[in-house]
Amino acid sequence: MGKNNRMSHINILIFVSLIFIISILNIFSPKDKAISEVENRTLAQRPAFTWDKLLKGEYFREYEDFFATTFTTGKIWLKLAGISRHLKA
Amino acid sequence: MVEVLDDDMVFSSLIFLYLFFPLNLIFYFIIKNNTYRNIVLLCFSLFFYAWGEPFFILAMLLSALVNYFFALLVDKFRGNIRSKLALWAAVAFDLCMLGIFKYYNFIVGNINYIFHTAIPFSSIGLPIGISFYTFQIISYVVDVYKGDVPAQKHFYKLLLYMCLYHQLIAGPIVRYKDIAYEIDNRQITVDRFSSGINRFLAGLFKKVIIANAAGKVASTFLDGNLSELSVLGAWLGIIMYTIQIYFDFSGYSCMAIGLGRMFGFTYKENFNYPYIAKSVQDFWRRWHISLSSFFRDYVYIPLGGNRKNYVRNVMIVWMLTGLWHGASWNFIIWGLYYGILLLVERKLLARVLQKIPAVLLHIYLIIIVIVGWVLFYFTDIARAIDFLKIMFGLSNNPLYDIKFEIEFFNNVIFLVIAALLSTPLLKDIYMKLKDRTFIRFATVVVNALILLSSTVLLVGQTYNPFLYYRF
Repeated sequence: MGKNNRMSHINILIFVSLIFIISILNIFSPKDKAISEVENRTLAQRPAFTWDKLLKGEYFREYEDFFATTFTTGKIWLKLAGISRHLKA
Repeated sequence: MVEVLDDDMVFSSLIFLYLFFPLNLIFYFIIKNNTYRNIVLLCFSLFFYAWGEPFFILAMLLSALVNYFFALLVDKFRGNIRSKLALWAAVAFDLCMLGIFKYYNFIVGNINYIFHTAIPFSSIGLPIGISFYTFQIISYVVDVYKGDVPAQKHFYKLLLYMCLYHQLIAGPIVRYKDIAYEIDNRQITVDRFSSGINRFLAGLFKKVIIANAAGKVASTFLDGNLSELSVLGAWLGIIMYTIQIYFDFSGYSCMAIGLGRMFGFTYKENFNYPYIAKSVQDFWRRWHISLSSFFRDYVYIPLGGNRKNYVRNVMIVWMLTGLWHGASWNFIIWGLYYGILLLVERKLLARVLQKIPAVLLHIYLIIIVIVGWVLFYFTDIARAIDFLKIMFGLSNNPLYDIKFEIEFFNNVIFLVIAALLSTPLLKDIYMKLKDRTFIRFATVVVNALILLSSTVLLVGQTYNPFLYYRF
């Protein structure tokens, strides 16, 4: 039981840390560049808020688009992707 | 699952994993009081719903409110005819909501077609998850009527049951009586939270790594010009869809069960390796269990089950099962297809099936299922028939072509892995060895790899969504 319990702690620790580290990296990675040089494409802009858009659900959609497209901008993230690819190989 | 659209915040999206979920964890676990924890979960669930459907949240709130009051009436007038009236009123209201939002255009379309009328279509659209939450709330009122569970006195607790984001938009269809106790008393232990993580990530793997990949290949064969399709191409395409729909849907159920465990809720299993079934009946005991058991308990048995009007009851249940999946004729046909097969199995083949070797039974069932997905996939019935003709060599299409060869050899390993994961083989091995330190350590490492590689794939999808269409 003791050993199992310790492994469960480690499992939780690693999972929760990964979620939070990536979330925080994503928050603090630069987002203002409209064009990502690494990917050579124009990125979605942070959507402007209006009540009309909110009620139609467009605001959330645009925000999600913004979130997903700017997710990659931080170079740190690309490094992480590199590490995971390395681990897989 | 047909209703899960890309617009909504699904568990396998970056914004869920790296914004919504961590915030929910923080707010949930800094609070110790169960009432406040419920309120946190409720707020996050309402926000989750509002994310895709800011307007339709009103429809859901109305539905919760109406059923809340009717259930209280059912309880209050117990033993009196008014109790039954309240039950019927609630069920009628729920079916009307479903009818208005989900089936209005389908009904109007058919009336217009038959009577050459021009009743205008509605442009309201479909509130996400309405089929799931409506069934949940119906099961609640019926169970209160049957005396299986007391009516919930607190509106917010009932609303929490109905809109808990784990199962709100793609099931499983949770029964109120199964989580009533846990709404008030939840024990979250380290081991349970940890096993919740394992389940959640297993689901993420199924969805992002298997289902999405299968879906891409499937659509290259299924969405193109059918006259350019080869026979084996058709089979490969629909087999890929067979893989996609199972891993997508069961992956989503896995994630829901895993999330439930992390927050102290126990949801029943929704899938039990359906593709290893040996008969149609067996298949439906393993596929989307929460839906088939809903129809069994709330439609089939009240109609008389197999004691009277057996054939009628079976056909009603299967027509409704089909219709539940979408407001279109192809889903009804898909449902009736299974109804008829069940009757044939039970009435004509019962003895024959007992004598046939297991291998042949597996093949028999999987072909039935694959043909079923053709009916399910193509909303246009004529196209489904054309596709079936190609599959069974009743057309002039070539047996195979270069496109099939390329896709097949690119995906051989993928197909083998997907087939293996459709059986309980790996799980059985895991269950035997899971208490060994090495396996527990490996689980932690595999979890991290799944999370990271799924993230990489999700990031990839955002800027390369149409990779396959370029060829």
